[in-house]
Amino acid sequence: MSTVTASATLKSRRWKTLRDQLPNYLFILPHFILFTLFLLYPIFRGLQISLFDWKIMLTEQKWVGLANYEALWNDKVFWQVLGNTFWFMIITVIINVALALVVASGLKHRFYGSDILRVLFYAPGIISVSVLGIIAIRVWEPQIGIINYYVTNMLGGPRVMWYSNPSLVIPVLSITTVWWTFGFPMLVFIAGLHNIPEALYEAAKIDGAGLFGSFRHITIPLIMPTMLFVVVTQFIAHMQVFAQPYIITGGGPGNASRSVVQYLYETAWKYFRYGYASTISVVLALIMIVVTIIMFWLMRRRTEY
Amino acid sequence: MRKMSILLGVLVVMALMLSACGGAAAPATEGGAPAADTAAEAPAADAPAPEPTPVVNAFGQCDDPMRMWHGLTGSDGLVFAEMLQQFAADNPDLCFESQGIPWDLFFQKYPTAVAAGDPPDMVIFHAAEVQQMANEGLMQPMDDWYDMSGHSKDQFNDVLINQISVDGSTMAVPFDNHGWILWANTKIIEDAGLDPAALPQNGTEFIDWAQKITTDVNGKHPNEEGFDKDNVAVWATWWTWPRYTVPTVLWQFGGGVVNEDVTQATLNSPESVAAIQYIQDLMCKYYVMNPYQPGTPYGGEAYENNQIALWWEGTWTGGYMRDRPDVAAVTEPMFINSYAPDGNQAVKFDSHIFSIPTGVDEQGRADAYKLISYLVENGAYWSNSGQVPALKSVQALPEVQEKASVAKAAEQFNAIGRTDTSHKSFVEIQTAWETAVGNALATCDADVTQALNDGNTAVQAILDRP
Repeated sequence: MSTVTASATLKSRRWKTLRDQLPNYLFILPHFILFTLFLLYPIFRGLQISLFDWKIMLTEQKWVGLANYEALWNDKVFWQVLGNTFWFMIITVIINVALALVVASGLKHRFYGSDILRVLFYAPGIISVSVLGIIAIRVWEPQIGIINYYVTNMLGGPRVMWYSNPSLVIPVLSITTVWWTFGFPMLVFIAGLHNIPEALYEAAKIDGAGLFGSFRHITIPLIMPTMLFVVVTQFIAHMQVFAQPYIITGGGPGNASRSVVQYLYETAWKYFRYGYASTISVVLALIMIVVTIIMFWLMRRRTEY
Repeated sequence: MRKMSILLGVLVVMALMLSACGGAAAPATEGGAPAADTAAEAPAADAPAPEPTPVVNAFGQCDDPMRMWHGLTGSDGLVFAEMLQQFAADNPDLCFESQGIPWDLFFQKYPTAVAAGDPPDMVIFHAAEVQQMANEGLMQPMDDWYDMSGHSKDQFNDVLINQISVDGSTMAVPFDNHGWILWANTKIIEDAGLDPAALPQNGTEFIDWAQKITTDVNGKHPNEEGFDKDNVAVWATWWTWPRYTVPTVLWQFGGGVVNEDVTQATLNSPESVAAIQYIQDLMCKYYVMNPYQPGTPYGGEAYENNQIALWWEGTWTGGYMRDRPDVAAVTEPMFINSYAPDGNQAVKFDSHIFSIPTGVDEQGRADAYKLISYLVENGAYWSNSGQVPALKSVQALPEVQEKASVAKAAEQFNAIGRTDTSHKSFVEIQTAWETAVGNALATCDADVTQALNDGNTAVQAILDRP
């Protein structure tokens, strides 16, 4: 008898809890529906398509199992473009984070013109990537570009083939991207730096710490939570680089600046190999998930909250 | 002061935002109104005709207008829009929409629209892509248009008709022939003491000739002591879009990307290697062609500044010349010169073609056929864009022949024109050989043979795929 009562009480309590929490579920329901429709479903659909030789006009698709994954494993172009993408990401993230942190440290305090400098440093980020491409071509162009004008006419140096040289093209695209995107991490770092108590710097100053010492022993350890956010978001963004090489170099010379996402796009929308393109996207997603987890693990160990 | 700097900052940001928006917006019409507005306010049949724009046009009002998608968004797009306006005036009973979409987006929208069962009633793309689109099941045969219109296939370039025929069916109707033509700057040639009417006839003659033309900023030629290759003032020729330049040179040398029956890659044949090696030598050994650039290099600015003597560029450059009468006055359109040792001539051309997507109903097809017939038969107006009308009878019309570049290009395509080899994986093959050629020309110490061997392997792998 007592068991039955206890069970009924438990059920009643669960129902009450559910009823109490119903508004919360209703609040997240619109997002959950959209999330399922536009994110979860495409992810599962992509996984499914990667197992077929998918033709857009066929109603019955040809099952190929893991053949696309096997082909990707043996695809030299994929490994080359993956290497390009990692190289681009590493250079861009390192310069972006370092430059943004240094500039943010300088602009943390208000001084005459600091506001306009913040706006100017952020401003390139609002232009479209197409405009960025046009600007970059004008700047780096070997014959009529601004950089080579200074290199050859002012400094008397050789005419550098900035984006036709396979070993220079990725750094050139990285520098262009840093100019375009470093405003956002700079703003995030400025916000993060404001959370560090000023008293710590004053105490360090009294103890004889210089500018570099304060930066190393106070700023760096205490900015790590912000750093984790910036590095992870920058990694995710730059691993998906597409439009800069697509517009500026077309992925060339050869495949020297072709990125994974450009290769994926071309495979799907130029070659109409949707199954293989889905395989590329699945593998890229897995790589990014694994690297992000490693980053979290590595950086959390060094983070002080 | 702080308020002032914030205000200034906001103004800078707003200016940048506006400039960014300006780049992406549809071109303004003559009256200054944005093009998109013209489309949004589609006029009633008795309202004044809209200003044509290359992007979006709507004519007449009805529930189910005939829809056309195309990628003619450049200078030729404006001429095309004018043709549509004329067609609408002649056919007030027909209501239709025309949407210009950049080619990359076009090839995303087109298959997805067909697969979704909501295709436009007609599309325009390129003859080279027909085989691939047909293989994907995206096109309907159009043999009945030739019967209905009274224009037999032999009234078009036969090489082109072969290219758009799949399994015995003609899948499209050609609108034009477009491709490479030689734009010769007669001023530079005469200034060098040479005769523009006596251009070099083969690759060997070209090198001697080109070294006389090319000069650095100190007036020295590449074969003279002290030539400054980093500061060249005038180039004999210019590295242009490889998609047209490379096949042209390969064919001149007797090479190619694939063999005749499209079963074997021939990118590493001795002839193909010699062709690409010749281009590398022009850039790196003789210094008569500007260094390699990836992407789609364009010499318009350098040509305008009298820095290029022989410019291999598209027929569509006719619009560029029309806008620059000073440049046109010193320019002579000619047959593409041969780089081959034996002077063998060849040039690549392509075509904008009309196609009826899979899934279009009879009414849509009938309406589209009306417009197609009009556009094909009025190709003389289309020649204002610099493109060569597809119908040979239209090519011969006086108003076409009076346009020097169009007349010369028509003669050239009919005499020595070749099209890309058709294949169901055409675009993938194209990317493979472009990558290989890019590797061969990227640096002056690049191994041409090795790069083309790698490219050959990649092309063969695509050909061997079931």
